[in-house]
Amino acid sequence: MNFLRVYASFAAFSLKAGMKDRFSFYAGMFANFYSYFITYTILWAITRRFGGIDGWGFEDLSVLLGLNIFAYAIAGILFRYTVYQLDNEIASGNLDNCLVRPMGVVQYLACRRFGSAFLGQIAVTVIFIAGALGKISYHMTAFSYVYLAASVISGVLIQSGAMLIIGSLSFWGIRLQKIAAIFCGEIRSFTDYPLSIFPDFIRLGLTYAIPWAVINYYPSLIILRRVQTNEEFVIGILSPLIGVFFFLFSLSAFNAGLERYSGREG
Amino acid sequence: MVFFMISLKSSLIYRKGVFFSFFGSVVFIAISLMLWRVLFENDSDALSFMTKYTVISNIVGIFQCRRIAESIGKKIASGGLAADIAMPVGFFAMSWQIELAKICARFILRGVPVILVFLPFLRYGTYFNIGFFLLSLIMGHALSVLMYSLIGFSAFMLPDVWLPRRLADDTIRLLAGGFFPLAMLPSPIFEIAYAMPFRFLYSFPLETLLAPSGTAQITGGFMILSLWIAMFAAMNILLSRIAFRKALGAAA
Repeated sequence: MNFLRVYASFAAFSLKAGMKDRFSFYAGMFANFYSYFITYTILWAITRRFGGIDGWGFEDLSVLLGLNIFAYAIAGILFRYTVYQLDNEIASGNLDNCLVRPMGVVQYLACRRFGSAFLGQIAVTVIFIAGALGKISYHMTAFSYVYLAASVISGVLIQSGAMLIIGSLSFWGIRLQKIAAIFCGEIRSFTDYPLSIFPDFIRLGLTYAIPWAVINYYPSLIILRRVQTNEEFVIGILSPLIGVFFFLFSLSAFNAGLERYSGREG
Repeated sequence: MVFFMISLKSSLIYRKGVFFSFFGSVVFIAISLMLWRVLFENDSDALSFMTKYTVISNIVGIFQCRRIAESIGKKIASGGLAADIAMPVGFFAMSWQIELAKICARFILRGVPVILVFLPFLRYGTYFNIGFFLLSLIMGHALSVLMYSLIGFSAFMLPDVWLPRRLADDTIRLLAGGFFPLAMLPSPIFEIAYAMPFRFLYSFPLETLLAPSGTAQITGGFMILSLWIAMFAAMNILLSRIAFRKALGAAA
């Protein structure tokens, strides 16, 4: 709770500082809002033309895509400009400052900059997810809403964990970081669509090797009542737990890298 | 062409980053092909068309000159524009040569490997109007240079050029026909897309190459494209004169 209070203070300072340059502050949010609005429009055009993708209508795809984008946006607010770009923090010497603060390095990096531009992404996904959930043909129960919240938190943990792992690769070599960014960026694009349209090895890889499918695909199957196999049900129900374990794993990877770090001049 | 050669050599030397964008292109195309395979599973002709459309669209995208907006914008923001005006080479020509060299390097290092990877999908099938396609590619490149340089010159009026550039990129993503043919767009959006110049960046070259079009249709398209190029060229001349006047005034 103490960390949350400290984070809230840092976030307030960061927002006040950001609003001094009002153009950049609002421009960043608007650009993100517009970009993902276009993404949703393209999806809408496809579903309108073909009646859906493998039986998934626009509302279903809005939930699928929205869970991914929403989780990424929250993780981005926390870590996109600090941990994800750790090579910049190391080169500038800012990481050395983090080591002498009276809080954990990851916590301090989360506090250092509030990614306000991601608020635009959050706004557009909330609009489309809320619209989609209002239109689906069955009633969302109390369990559905609790599960939705838990799966969002799980998605945030997985996305944050991915940023931590990518950032921590800077301790070993920048080129590794660029390779890892491919797995976070390009490979994650598979989860913008229902994985049933891809060959099975892609679904298996995105479930058991790199858990991107746990962010949105399996939770969507549960929320939208599209579960067809026991495997999908179990992974979907366990997704909050998978998120926690993945985040703990990424924290330990980051700390292992930090132990190797001997300072900017070292 | 000195700037072109220097920029080309530099881009070819520092080529390691291109591998990552090549991999990104391959993944993007693979996802799109799998999507079209599901959507067009009962129509093999349409699937073949969309396969070629997706791969060639990715190559056509290499020839868009988006980064000229940032290079001009940065020159204006840093004050370097005043020094560049004094050079014995036209500022616009110099900027264009540098960006063209980067485009050529990207085509060599990313475009050609992508073509080779997806050659089995491109080998069979009919291609129309290859000469007109190449002409539309060149004119589409010219249009993108003029559109994005206009954004770059707006750095005198706006605090930063990244916002209009990003908005242009996203609008082009929907209205240019890069991801799917404009005919797939619902009616009101299709009409807006048809009226805008963005379709000449992707849709017009691709449909010239992949769909049987009459000479009248192609000629009409080139005439409209020429008008758009003339309009953006005039706007560039106007805005660049204002930019140069302000740069020289600031330097004095």
